[in-house]
Amino acid sequence: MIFNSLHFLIFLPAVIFLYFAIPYKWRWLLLLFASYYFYMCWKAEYAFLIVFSTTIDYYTANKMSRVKDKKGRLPYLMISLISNLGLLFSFKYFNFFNDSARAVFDSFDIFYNVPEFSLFLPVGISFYTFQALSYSIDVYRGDFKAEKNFGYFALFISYWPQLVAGPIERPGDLQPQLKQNFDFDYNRVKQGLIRILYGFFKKVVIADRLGLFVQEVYGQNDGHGGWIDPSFAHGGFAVVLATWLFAIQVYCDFGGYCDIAIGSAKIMGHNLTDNFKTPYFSKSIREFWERWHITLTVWVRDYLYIPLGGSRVSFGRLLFNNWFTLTIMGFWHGANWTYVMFGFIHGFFIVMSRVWDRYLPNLTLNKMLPNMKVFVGVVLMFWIFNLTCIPDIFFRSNSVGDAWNIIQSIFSADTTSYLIHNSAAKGAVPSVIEFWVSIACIALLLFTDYKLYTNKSVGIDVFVASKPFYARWSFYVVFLVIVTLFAYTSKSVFIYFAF
Amino acid sequence: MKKLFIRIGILILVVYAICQVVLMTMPFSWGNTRLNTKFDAYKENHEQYNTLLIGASTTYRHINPRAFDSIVNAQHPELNIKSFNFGIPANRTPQSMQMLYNLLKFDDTNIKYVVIDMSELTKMGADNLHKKEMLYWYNWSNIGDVMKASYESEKGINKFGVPILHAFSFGEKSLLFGNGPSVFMQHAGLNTEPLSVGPDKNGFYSLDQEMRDDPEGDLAARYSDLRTQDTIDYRTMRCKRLVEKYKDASKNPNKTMEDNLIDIINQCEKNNISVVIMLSQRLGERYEYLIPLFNQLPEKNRIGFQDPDAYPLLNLRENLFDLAHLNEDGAKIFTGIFADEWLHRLEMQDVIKPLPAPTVESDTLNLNPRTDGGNQ
Repeated sequence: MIFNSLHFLIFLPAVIFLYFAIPYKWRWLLLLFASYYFYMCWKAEYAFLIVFSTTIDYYTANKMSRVKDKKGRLPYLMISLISNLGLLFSFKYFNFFNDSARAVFDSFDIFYNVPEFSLFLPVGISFYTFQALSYSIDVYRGDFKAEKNFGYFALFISYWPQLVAGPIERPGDLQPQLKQNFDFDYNRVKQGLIRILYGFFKKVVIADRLGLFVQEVYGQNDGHGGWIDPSFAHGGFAVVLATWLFAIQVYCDFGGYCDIAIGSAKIMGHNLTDNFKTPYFSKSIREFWERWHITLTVWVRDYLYIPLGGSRVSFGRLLFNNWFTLTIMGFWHGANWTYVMFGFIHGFFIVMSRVWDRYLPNLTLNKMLPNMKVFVGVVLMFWIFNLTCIPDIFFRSNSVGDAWNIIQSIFSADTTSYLIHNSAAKGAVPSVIEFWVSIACIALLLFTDYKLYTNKSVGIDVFVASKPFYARWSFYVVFLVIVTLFAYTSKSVFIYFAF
Repeated sequence: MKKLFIRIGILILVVYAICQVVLMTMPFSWGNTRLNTKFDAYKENHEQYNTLLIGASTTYRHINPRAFDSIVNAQHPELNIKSFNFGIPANRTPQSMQMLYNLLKFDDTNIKYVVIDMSELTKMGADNLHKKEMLYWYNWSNIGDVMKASYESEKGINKFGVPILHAFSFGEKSLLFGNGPSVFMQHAGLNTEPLSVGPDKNGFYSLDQEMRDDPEGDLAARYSDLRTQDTIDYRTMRCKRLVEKYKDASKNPNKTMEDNLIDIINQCEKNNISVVIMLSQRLGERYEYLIPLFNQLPEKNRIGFQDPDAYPLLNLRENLFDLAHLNEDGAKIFTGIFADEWLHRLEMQDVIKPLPAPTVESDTLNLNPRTDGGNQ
């Protein structure tokens, strides 16, 4: 089930109504049932993967909780790691490694005949396996006590709002909330609905509409597991524009999903972790990663970066740790060299920023133009936005070769006018109208996000709810009218479902 | 919780009111770029036209008004037929009724003859939701009839699913859901598709012509993929089976739709407008529903092309563009057959007197091997 569907518009009120209607002691069962239903609407048989992961982690965590020393817990942790990562490897990465091995063997003319797995990639596998792993590791470290109730634990792994695309919750944050008894609270429900409305605005008004222009340059999925190659007919500023639009699309797509997830959970009383905090207002690449896909960044920091030594190592090792963890984060997104490149380039940027800070600390715009803070801030934001667009080219392309072709096409003849006027030529609405609708909505998004940014990046729900009556109702009416009139109604799934 | 529901209710009312204001201030839309274009072309010379051909793609792609007018006028010059093709792809019968209503509202002084191509009456797939077409053809009366008709359907239609889809679709229409860009287009006069009115500007646009105009479009793939002899044979066999099965069906399958069609016939007759309802050759889908309903209509007001045995030429590969549509050659043959059948119905309606002997030398008329009147 996807959030931007009629199905979800029936599912959400039904679950919420039942949630508050039934006695507290049965709520976990309702949510567990709803979570599996939510997942099984996509491909029922793959729910067994969640059951498998849940069972293994429940068993190993409870075994670990009975052993006092870490050494004794290690075998159970290994079982959990091997099971979860094995699941991820089998369903997500096997074909990638297999194809890469074949390419290497072929280049040496060595016969290699390991067949490909023809399996669908289970939706959200990277999210729920990482959530399960964090549970096992926390129990192993003694940071979290193993859950004795299998039902509550199963709910923690499969909790429907964040099951397929995060936020990746830590057991210490989510698990206790699932056991709490929340009564219906008008203000909390109101905030949840505000968040959902803003999420729909980002997803169905902006992200889906921008996809029209992005796919014109980058190609698109054919909906059957294949790929329609880009024509490489575009060049010049059109490619830059499409890349900018993609950066906004992916933010609105993933950020919109998270807003709907966070809002849905909030209605039921559960606070999920914010995954995005106005990332495109970042003034450095490190700040960007503190604002972008926060739960993944924190996960990788706690379970990979710090075990590698974190920042308490030599400068050279620190650079390696930064670059390595970012590359792994890129690879987490998908089994393709494009995602590896995405992480690699971000890692390179982080390394460069650290080197710059160390060796050229006075050569920064802030220090060179101390009296022009606003101007410097805007320039830095624009600079960082453009820097993040470079790895996005790889992220969006079907192959590294395509990405290089797209980068090269920036230097060919400009086709911006053609892109704006003909992207949706076969659609019912001329793309020029869609383009200007997109620009107007992006302006509104920037305005709203700027307001959030200047308010310490609080959530839109908290921000709007704190405003006076006329401002709140203006927000409700304006955004609801915009979502109603300008929802892009072609079917589209969330980009991060693929991960 | 009560407070929340009240506030959500108020909010929905406010948004609904805003959307209604937007809808009311919007210039009239036919909801379909092809139809808008056709109406613009029709409007320019509407006083010339006395015959409206309304329906789906099987009208749009199959009846060439220029050929039709010349064949009919050659036999009955006193009719002085000048027709306009208002067929558009995937048009449903309730839409056709609404279209006729709007066209007659625009100008009913010259119209003497109307042909309505009967198609799936109530089916509305999820793919049809959100379409701009909703903007013009849904109103309270239509939605009531369509939902009633859907519920009455005995076979082939999900009795509950389809009315629910229509209800949602109607709600979307009321809120202009996703139609903001279309509203802008309507204000800017951009809701048109110039080529779709056809080279003669009479609404006929053959599939071959469209493929020539857009060689890289979807039609080329349709032409090459869907026209194999095996699939044509299978489709013809399926149609024959369904026609055989339902040819004697006399049970009224849908009182609402029957009443609506009969009402149109009667209303038009009162205004001296002759109506003929046509059942085109189809893929066989909904025949179990369409044929029994078709059989309820007065014989003088119906023409049926559903039987492949009655019109074998219309099922030959060389005359087909894809499984459901004829190519230019096929359309030429069909126009001839249709003109012949239509004149026959006018005779039955006492609009014209039968001719003593055929006077037209057109080959197309001799190509019709019909032996049973085409009606089941």
